[in-house]
Amino acid sequence: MNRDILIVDDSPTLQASLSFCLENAGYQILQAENGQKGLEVLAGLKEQEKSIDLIITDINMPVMDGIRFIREVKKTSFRFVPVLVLSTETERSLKDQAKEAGAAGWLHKPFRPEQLLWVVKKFIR
Amino acid sequence: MENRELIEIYFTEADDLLQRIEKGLLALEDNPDEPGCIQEVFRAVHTMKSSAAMVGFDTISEYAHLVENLLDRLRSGRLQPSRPLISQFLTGQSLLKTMVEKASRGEEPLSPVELQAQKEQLGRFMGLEGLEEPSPLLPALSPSENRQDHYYQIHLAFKEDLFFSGQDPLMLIRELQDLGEIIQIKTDHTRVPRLPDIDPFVLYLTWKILLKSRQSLSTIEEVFCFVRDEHPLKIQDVTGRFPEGVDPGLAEKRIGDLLLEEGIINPQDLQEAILEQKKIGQVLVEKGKVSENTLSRLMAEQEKSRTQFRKSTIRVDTHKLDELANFVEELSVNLSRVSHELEKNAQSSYRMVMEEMDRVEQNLREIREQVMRVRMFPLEGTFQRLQRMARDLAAQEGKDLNIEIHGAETELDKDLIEQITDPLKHCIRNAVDHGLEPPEERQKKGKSPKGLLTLEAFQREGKIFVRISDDGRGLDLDAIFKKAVENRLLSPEAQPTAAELQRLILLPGFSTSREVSDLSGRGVGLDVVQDQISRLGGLVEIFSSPGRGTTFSMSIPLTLAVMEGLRIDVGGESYLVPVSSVLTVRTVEEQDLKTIEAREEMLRFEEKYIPAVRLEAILGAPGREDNSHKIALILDSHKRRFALLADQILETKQVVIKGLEANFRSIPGVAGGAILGDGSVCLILDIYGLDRLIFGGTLGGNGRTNGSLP
Repeated sequence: MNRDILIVDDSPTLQASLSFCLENAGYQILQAENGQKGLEVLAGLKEQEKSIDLIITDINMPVMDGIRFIREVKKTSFRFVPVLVLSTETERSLKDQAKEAGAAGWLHKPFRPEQLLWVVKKFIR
Repeated sequence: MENRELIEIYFTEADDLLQRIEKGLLALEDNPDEPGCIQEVFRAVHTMKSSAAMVGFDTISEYAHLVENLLDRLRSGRLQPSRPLISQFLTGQSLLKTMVEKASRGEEPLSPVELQAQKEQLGRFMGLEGLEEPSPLLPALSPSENRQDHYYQIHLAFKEDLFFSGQDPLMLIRELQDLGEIIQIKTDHTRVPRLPDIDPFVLYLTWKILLKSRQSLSTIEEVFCFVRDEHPLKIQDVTGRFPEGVDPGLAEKRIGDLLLEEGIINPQDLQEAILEQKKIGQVLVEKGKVSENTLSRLMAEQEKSRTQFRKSTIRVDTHKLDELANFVEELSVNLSRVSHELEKNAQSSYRMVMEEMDRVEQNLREIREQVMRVRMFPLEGTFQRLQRMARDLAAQEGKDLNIEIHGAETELDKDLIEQITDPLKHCIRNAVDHGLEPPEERQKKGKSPKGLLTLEAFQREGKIFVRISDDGRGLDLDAIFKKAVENRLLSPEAQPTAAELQRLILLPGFSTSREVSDLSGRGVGLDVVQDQISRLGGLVEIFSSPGRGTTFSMSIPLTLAVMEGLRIDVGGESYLVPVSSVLTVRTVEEQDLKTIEAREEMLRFEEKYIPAVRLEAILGAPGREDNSHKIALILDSHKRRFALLADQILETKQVVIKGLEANFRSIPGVAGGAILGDGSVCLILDIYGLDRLIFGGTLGGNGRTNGSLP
């Protein structure tokens, strides 16, 4: 069965490595370069009456950052989709904000493919 | 996707980020109070850090991390955006750039010792924090804000599967490091099995950490908020057990750190020690295992292949590709309609097919234009580099200047951008070094002490104009005249116009600067600019007004790949001459030509004689040896004017230049070939190369070398 994952990240390198790793594992990938674009993707899915299995988001992005994005997602019909936050140690102070906003998990950058897949499997059953 | 592909994506991204960092910093320097600039730089450095880590360039990531920390202090207002601080950031940006470049050549970005030295450098600014941080008012009134040092005993006994919850113990420990100072860390490795039994994804280690921090217990606990529920860990405030002033961590420090701290050596000593470290190749040469020649040959080959690899990829805006795809789509629709019509009764559909073919042609033209556009890039990055260069040069010279940039969004062929960068650098050097006066001199003249340098680009009539202007002293026409007389370019009695004198500075070896300066006095004159721009089919113009400044204006064709040509017939062979080189075309009668010294033919043009050239004699092509040519193309190679004798003009034509080198050796005077409508090949003349072929490397002056100015 196809599983869809939305990746929200403004770094092409991160997008490429995430997509590569997840697509190899058989997931379908949707991409967005910031929170705003992420919401647009979700709105598009809703119009087509589709859903999604997991959202992976970066924190530090232009236009709309990851925390605001999670808050906005939680206001939509996608509020039960688990959100995995991808971030670095300097964003420590944002960790509890992310948790409060409703993030289900936190993945450190850089990560190893095995680690990513395992975490993703934890959320998509 | 292959690893190499990912690495390429990374390098493209890194280039982009480095540019954004630089741009942000330069903007910040102009507007220190603009929080948006800091935020933009911060974000770019942050992304730099994580994407470098993702592809395994840990040193780059680590250094970016340090810069990010410093930026964070700037962002939170704990540091002020002072000039030295911004300069430090710019240095940091340069270092990151060097590191990325080294990484792209497969070299180690920075040795651990160098990294350590750079850390010290940044640490110096971090140290300023105490001085610049406003001291809190009435600390007694805010008891909740506990500013005392605390000591925390932290026991991390994560479960073996921590890795699979997305956590990295090293990262968590680093986070602790950001909150305070890790005084002691003890690793329990008793659970580690024998080597053959190790599973790399299982965590066998536990840690006991002693952390000195001003943060509250709850802040420390937050670090573990995503693991706390599933993994045992214990955090205790043990401040009572550690009396102030004792630094149990001293024993853990590195010898280099200690020597620096004790003031026994300074960072420069460390740097010098680093420089003395020898490269492996050099050591091998010294040991006589490899010859110097072999080494340098191999290194040169390696370098070539690496640059080639990086040059061959470009990043393209997706909408350009979308448009291209649209045109191709339309084209296939047109073609299917044509074939459909052809399948039907041919009689009735003739007109229809012709109409459809017209549309196909129209579409092809658009596709060609679109493909060219894909190769086009904005000049922004180049301008930014030039801005940076001008800024650094001016600082070096003790000159103060504002830099204005207009039209940075103007797009140009990627190859062309690379090829005009050096000439532009040269003009900038010239402007900063010779054009702009030192602040005191400017003030004496009633000018603002700050000089103004303008970089400008725009597109007009199928050409790109790039202009570099300064508001400095302007060209010293008298000095130019004297120098020209000295070099026998002009006779002492000549009465040249200002414009003619100004053009002289573009000739080889012409420099009016009396003393050789550090900047532009490297024995290379502005002729390099003229040379390079002419080679690209462009034109250099100089506008200068004494006391008010100088403008170098360069116009270049939009792309190297397409050329507007005049197709001429010479003795039955057809050639294409770039329209940009043709001044005018006129008819010739036998009496217009004059033979000098029994071999050199001259043609009278605008009151003087210019060399008249027969292509068949020069290229050894078939043709008539008599004087029966009917027209002359007056060409300007920027070194001189000369006439090319021909039989007739056939048409003007836009052609795609095809290089000859792939199949033939390169032919002097010939830029390449083009395929004509009937499938035949036509040679494209390279006027600049032709000039060289005919007149050799001698000095010219628009054909006025003999002081024959009017």
